[in-house]
Amino acid sequence: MGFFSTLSSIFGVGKKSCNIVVVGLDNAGKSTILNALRSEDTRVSQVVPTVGMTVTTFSGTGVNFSAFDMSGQGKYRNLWDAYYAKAEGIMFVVDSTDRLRLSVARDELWMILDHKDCKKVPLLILSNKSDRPDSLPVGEVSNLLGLDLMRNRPWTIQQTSAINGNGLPHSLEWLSKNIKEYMNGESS
Amino acid sequence: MIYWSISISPMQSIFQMSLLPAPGARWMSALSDDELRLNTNANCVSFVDTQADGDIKLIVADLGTSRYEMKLKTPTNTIGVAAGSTLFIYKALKPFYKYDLKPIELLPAEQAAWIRYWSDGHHIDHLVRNLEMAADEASFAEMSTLSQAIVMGSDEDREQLIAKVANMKERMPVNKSQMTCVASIKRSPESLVDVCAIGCENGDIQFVDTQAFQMLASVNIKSPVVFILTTGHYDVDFKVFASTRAGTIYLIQREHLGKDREPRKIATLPKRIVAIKMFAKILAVATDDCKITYYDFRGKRLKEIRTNQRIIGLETFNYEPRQYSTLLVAFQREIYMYNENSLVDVLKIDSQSDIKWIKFGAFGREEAALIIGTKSGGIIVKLFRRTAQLTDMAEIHAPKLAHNYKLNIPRRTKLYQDQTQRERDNPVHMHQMYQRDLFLLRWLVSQQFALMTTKALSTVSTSSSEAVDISVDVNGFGPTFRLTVRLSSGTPTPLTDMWLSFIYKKESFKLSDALIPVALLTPQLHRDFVVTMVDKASGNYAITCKKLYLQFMEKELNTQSNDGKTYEIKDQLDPVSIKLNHEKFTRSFGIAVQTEGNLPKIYGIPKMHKNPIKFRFITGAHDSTLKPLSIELQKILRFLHGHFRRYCYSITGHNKINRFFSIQNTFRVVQQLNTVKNKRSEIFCADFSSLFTNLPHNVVKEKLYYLIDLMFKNAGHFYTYTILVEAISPEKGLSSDIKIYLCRKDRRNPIVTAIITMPLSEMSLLD
Ligand SMILES: Nc1nc2c(ncn2[C@@H]2O[C@H](COP(=O)(O)OP(=O)(O)OP(=O)(O)O)[C@@H](O)[C@H]2O)c(=O)[nH]1
Ligand SMILES: [Mg+2]
Repeated sequence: MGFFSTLSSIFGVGKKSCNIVVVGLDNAGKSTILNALRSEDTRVSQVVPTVGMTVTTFSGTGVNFSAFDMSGQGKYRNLWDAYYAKAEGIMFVVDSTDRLRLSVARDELWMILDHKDCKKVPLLILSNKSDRPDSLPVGEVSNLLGLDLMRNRPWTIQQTSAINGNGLPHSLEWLSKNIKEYMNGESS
Repeated sequence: MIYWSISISPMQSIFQMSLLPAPGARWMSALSDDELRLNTNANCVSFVDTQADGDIKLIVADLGTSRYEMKLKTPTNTIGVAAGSTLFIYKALKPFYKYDLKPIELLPAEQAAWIRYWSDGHHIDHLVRNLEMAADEASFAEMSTLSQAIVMGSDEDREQLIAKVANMKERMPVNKSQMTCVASIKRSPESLVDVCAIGCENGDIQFVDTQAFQMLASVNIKSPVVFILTTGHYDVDFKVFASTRAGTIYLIQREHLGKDREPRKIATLPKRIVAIKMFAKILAVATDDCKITYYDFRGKRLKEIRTNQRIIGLETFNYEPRQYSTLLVAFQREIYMYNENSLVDVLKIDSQSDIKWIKFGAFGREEAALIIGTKSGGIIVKLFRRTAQLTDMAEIHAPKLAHNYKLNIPRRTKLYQDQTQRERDNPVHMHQMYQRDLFLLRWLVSQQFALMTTKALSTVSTSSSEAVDISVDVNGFGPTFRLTVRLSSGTPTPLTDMWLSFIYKKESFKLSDALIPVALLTPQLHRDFVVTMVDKASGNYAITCKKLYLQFMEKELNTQSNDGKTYEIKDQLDPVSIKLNHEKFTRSFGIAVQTEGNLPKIYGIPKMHKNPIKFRFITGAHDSTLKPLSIELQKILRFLHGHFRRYCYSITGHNKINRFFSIQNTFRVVQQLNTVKNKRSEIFCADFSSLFTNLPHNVVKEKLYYLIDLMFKNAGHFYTYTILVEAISPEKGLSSDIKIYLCRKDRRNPIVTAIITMPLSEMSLLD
């Protein structure tokens, strides 16, 4: 990072703002992760299952994010589609301990990617709850989600824990960088 | 019959299908485990939210592998397990209560036989005879199980059994009925407490309060109960359907609980009942003769579905979000879903073993999970896809039902009458015409087919740098064709990460797959393998197919034969061509050809860090033609080395800057660097992409000339030097030599070229 961009990120000037859509099955930990990404004074102490969706803002390096925290419950999943068109990035959260529903997560992920409104925006996949002893290694999650078939878009999978914060800084950095690149590519 | 329970959480096993479900698929595969070795059936499987946390577990009662494995393992919440004549209730992991069936009076003749036995000299023979007589008099089935066992058993068994009876109260066997099935009914719409309906071998259906463990009521249907289904609320109004082994279905309602009214017989089926399920106010009964019959709750027969396979089980499918309520029918290898009488889905299982039972319900956090138990004791979990739609597919799959057809009888028009008249007048002629046309049609079809098979056999092959053969077969004669694409690789190394893509007109064809990832294409392998070290990681070993090894070796030795036998598997290189090649080569150096003695040995070690993998070849100096030359060169270089060192030492005397380091390994570099105390020093690191052996000869030569110049012509002159230390990234191994490059500072662009003919370096600290 150059000197001026460091400066500008300190003073918050010249920061871009962007929308990301945060999806994944219910209980994956989406709201908990977003809560952990927020600045310390805006955090809530208790995360409850989301109803419909909520909007959260937080900032990354050089970018301010507005995140649409969608509810993952089956009955709300059809709301997801409405936000793809606006999104400049997708964050897909998977509960790495829920082996039964990894196939459901895979199904939903590919349905998102095949959706007509879904652009070639950066895709960040978080294999969450890695602090739990029964969590699957990130490589296995990647295989089970069929990520090796992913083409034509910047994507990464990151092992995270919303409880102890592992992997979150790195994820945020990746997202900031790739969204900036995406938006520069769009505008030019 | 003792059931033994284990709980299976979804965490235990996992099975991966790397294919995404097809767009129209209604189920997706979640987990599967063939190794569970469960011995169970649909009646012994249930879903329970054990921790009341929304994470629903599957509870399986395992019948054990033999009768005596009567262990109980970790049932986790309020679960009832019917075993023999006892209902065990488990609450939060612990046995909580046990409900026993009341004993039934012994048959008088049986009782008499026992009294005779104890009073009259303990004659086993007499006892057995008397018991047999008692059985003839009444019925064998009504005797106590102990007496039954004595009649059936061997002499040894009998003694043991009698000893058991001797321990009992009044020294009499106890006759208890066996529980055969259990179901629960809610007490009232608000209540959280259930009433258990227990069906017994003797035809009793008992209603037991699960809080007080008291029998509330009981009715008898006089024949062993095998299935029991409940609906409604016990205190308000309920319906209990019970079927007997004989195939009769009874309806028990609240008003039947009093003594005066008998349960109502609503249907009798001619064949053995395989399963009964209730869905959408319909009772579906599957019988042994491949039929599913629908009854309404009053016993009116509504419909009958014939299947063409033996039915294994039934299950109701309810999916709230879409208001689906259908019937799942399990056959040996597939599961059909019927919406009343139209077939809406066919699910084929991908397990080795046949289906034994199925169970549908909420599992984990999924609300629609289908658990399939296989004969081999495995479990497959399928989840219903959120986007799935159930539409009729009856036309394609359902076995045709005779009464489903409506005959299309034309009206009695003038045309119709003329036609029938014509048919009546010249039937022979019409028949002949028809036969001729039919023959012509058949002939045309076979002609087309023959044409197509010859056409389809011509293969397309494209040649590219990667020698992959592709051949395509087209099978079938439309509208659906099968394309068989065969790929075979001729390249020595396996090809990875390729795609098979089909380009076609979207409006003309629909392909099941337009882009197929090709995982790996390996050429045909040799039966032998060559074991070598791995380059740059000598602790690792590589096992290389001998064919590949030889191919590389041939290429290196320039002895590839072009006799066209691409697929011939060689075992050895041709010694004559090696010899010829060698002679040609030595002659090109102007050295006399050596005709005696052996050629030097050569071997190759694979560079696993390269993609594609190549070999590093290593030749022994022994027997080498060029050996005398290299000895001479070595001498020259050693002289240069010594001279340069002396030169450096002598200038060190002048300005105390050491310009000569002879370094064996990286540790020495670090050591040397540590001795440098100058704060202002700057050290550059450079990573060199090309290795020492790849250095262009003329550059090396040029640098050598430069060095010689430096030492012998400019002696006593001072230069400033910049140090470049190569940093070799650990993946490439640490064993590589350190190479330090020399360049003059006053040049504008120091070229990264090297002087590496000896382990020497030039180091300078920037002042
Ligand atoms: N151990 C552990 N628990 C986590 C982690 N992340 C989330 N949880 C827990 O998982 C549960 C669900 O988290 P939520 O953030 O509400 O999940 P969600 O994805 O927002 O769920 P919906 O809003 O229903 O879609 C909470 O009890 C969290 O405490 C994690 O990294 N480790
Ligand atoms: Mg949430």
